[in-house]
Amino acid sequence: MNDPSIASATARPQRKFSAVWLLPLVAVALSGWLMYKNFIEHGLVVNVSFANGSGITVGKTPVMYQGIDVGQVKALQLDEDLKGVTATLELSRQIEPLIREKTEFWLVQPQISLSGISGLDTLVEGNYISFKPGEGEPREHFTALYEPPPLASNVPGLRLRLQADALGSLAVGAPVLYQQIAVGEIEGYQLLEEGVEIIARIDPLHQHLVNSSSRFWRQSGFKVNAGLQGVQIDAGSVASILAGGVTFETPDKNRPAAEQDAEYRLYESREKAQGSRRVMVQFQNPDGLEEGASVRLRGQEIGRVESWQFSVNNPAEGADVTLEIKAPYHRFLNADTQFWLVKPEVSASGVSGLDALIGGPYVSVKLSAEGGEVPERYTALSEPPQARVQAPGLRIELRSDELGSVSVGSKVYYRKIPVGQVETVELSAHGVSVGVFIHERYAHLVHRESMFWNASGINVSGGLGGINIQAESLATIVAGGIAFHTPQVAKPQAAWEGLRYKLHPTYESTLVDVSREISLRFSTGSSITKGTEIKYQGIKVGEVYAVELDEDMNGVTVSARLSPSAKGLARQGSQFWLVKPQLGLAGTRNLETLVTGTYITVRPGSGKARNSFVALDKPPSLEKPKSGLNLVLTAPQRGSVKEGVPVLYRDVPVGEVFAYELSADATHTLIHINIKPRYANLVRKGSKFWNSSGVNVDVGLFKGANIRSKSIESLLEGGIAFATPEHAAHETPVAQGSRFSLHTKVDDRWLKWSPKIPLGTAR
Amino acid sequence: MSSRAFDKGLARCFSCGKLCQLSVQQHQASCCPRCDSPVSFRQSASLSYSWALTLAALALLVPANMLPILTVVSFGQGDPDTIMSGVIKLWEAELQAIAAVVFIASVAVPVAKLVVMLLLMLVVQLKLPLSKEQCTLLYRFIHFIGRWSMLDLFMISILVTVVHMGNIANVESGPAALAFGAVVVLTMLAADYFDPRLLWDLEHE
Repeated sequence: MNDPSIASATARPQRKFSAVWLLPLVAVALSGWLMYKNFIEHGLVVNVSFANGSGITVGKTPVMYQGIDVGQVKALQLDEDLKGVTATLELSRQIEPLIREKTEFWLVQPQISLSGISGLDTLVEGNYISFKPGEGEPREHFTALYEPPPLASNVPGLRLRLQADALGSLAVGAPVLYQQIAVGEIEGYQLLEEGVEIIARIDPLHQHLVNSSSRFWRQSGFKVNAGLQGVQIDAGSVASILAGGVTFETPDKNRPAAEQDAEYRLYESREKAQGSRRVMVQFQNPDGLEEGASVRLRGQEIGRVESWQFSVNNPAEGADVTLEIKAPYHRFLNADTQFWLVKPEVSASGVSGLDALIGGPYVSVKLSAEGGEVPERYTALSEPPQARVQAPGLRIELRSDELGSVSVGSKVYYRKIPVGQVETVELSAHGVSVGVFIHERYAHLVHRESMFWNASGINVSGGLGGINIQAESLATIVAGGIAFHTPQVAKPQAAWEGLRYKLHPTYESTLVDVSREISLRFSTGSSITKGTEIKYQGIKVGEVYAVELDEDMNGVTVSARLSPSAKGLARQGSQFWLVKPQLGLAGTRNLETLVTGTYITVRPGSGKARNSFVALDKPPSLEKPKSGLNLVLTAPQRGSVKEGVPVLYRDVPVGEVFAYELSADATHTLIHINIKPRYANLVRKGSKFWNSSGVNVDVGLFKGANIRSKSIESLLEGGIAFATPEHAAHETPVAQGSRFSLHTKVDDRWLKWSPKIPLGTAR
Repeated sequence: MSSRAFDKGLARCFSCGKLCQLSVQQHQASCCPRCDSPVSFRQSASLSYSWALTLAALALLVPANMLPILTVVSFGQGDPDTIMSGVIKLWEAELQAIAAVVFIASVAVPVAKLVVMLLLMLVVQLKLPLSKEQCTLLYRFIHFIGRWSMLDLFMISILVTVVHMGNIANVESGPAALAFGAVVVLTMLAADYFDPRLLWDLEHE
């Protein structure tokens, strides 16, 4: 059977067990390990019910815990009852101990409020599901919260409970600011029985900033303060503008730091946080007053109008305005406190409340001393109280018949420099009493003799000589003012507190006190009125202040005052008469009185001082001129000669008639002429004077008509001409008062005389 | 009845091809007189090796199908897929042809191979009266098809290396890929170790 050609195989002992059986074991082990590893990696699966699935994406929405991704949404399906969705979450095995019965899940969505980084991260990374670890038995099914629970975060920090009436614009994540730096955030809020409790977290780094004296208030967006000073915009951080925020301050830094879960009140504003007081003020007329209008003390804001409403019972009674007065000013409220409304007022007496023109009306307050009961309700003043200036200075009183345009606050000027102001204006039995305050540094300018006058407005005095406009200053035109001057006296006496003065209506009238009062008796009072001026040499020296009928009814008594400088005019022998415009062939005079009105003029006498005069009805005859050559012409008739008629030499006026009178025996007329000094030499013995008035018409049968006339002036007014013969040139000039005869007709020969006589030097 | 080499006590050395005389009674391992390689009538311990490998493959088939084999992340989105979920996804994505190919190559064939292997081994072990021709046909089939199961792994390995673009697109292999590879290799080895002559030996008993 065995083939010898085929070698037998060599025998070898056979192993009982094959190593290949290790392979299934290895495979099982490997498989088991893979499965286990996968199971571990697969994580914990829980189901969470959400109200809706918006914002949840399968495979994408992570589950975050402490900022770390600990799981994912694996599936999302509608509930069986179709009323919600159930998300299947796959969570890391590591957090399995945290997922218990009381664990709460919620969806964190981006807040469209830029409220903080926590909101921003979801904008970039998408929504995520967060949870708060709980206790109890392990569970697999949960119901998600609608919104994050109040105390969601486990971030370390100081947690504070802020009590507020309402949540306002605060959102979870809104910053908590200290000196405008975010030191924490709002973590949540919950409804209380009354109001809202807001949980704020302060970063551990800044925890020490909070203590029992801390005050919290809402950071409200931004505040715009517009006024005459400009526009001030007060804004918190951008985030706080958008999301709101809470700001706090800690006035007393020495108190021990706040403890966890300390309770604070969240105030609506910084003012309230600092402590404020509300007072009710009744305004008769809340003209344009709005909520938020400021309450100012000396122009500085110390509070705000919180609300107002018409008086409950009767709107016609005005409005009840609730004011909020900031700390520390509210401590000064008491029964003496006064409130009034400031609104823009532009009047002749001044521009007041100009700032209210832009900022709107506001309430001004006057506080007095600290302490005292605060009444339940104030009544606002209808106008500002008369404030006393709080500065050292001199206070005097002025009395006046009427107030004029002076008002409280009007300035007091000295040499057009403001040195004080009107403090009070009061009505008294005798007129108006004006309290004036003079600053201390100017008090020495006021003497007992000082004169005060109302410097308000513009004083216009006009005449043919021009118009004179006088005003103290532009301010006084608008606002009124008082000016004073202090006359120089031998023994000046300083003014003292409370001294009384008279307030004169004008500057001129201040002079009256030192002027002379005179009385003039006129036969008629026509064209004399109060204010008629008294002039001397064309200058005003006084004024009529009263015109009265005489006791005997035959004339009028004119009372006038003469200015101090013109005292000397009222003497025995002084002559007063009324100057009226004269229009006549003989001359037009005093034309200026047509414009300025009639006036009284005076020719001073030389006797003792007198106060009572009888006025002349017409101007007195011209006084014998002191210079020049005075001559007397004798004529049978006066003709057309009268005062002012010129005396002509070669048709050149060289003098004038200053008076005429009847001779003592009434046989002829005496005409007094005056030749100007320069031409005095022209009159010599032998000179011939003739009346050159009118027209000389010489008619003859053979010589025709010869009409001769002087100048038109002399034709109208008349005139006296004279000529001097050649031989008389050697004669000496005539003496003063020489007499000449006035011829009625001229001899033709006289006209041919032409002596060479040197004229006097022109002066 | 035809005679077998076994009946003549002859065996051919697998290494050098030398024909040697083996004693049938001998319960010891024999060696080639020329190259000293082990010589036996049939693949030595064919059945036990096949059993061991098949069982190992069976054990690994579980993780291979249960665990994710591939994670395709595209634009940050993507989930790990097991073989079967991948097939379903492809099918749902209207890629039925590819789904069918993947299903056949990755699920049907490995499972079929193991089932056939178990069947063949049970036939030999329990001397089941089945058609030897059909059994041989099945054996040939799994022997031929076995290597094509690696198609999946080739594809995965290529994707993993090529598609590596960060968040835009990224492919990662899962733990199942390892198990699956092992299943394929083990079944191939099992098929290799299985000696089909054992089937025919049943006819002589």
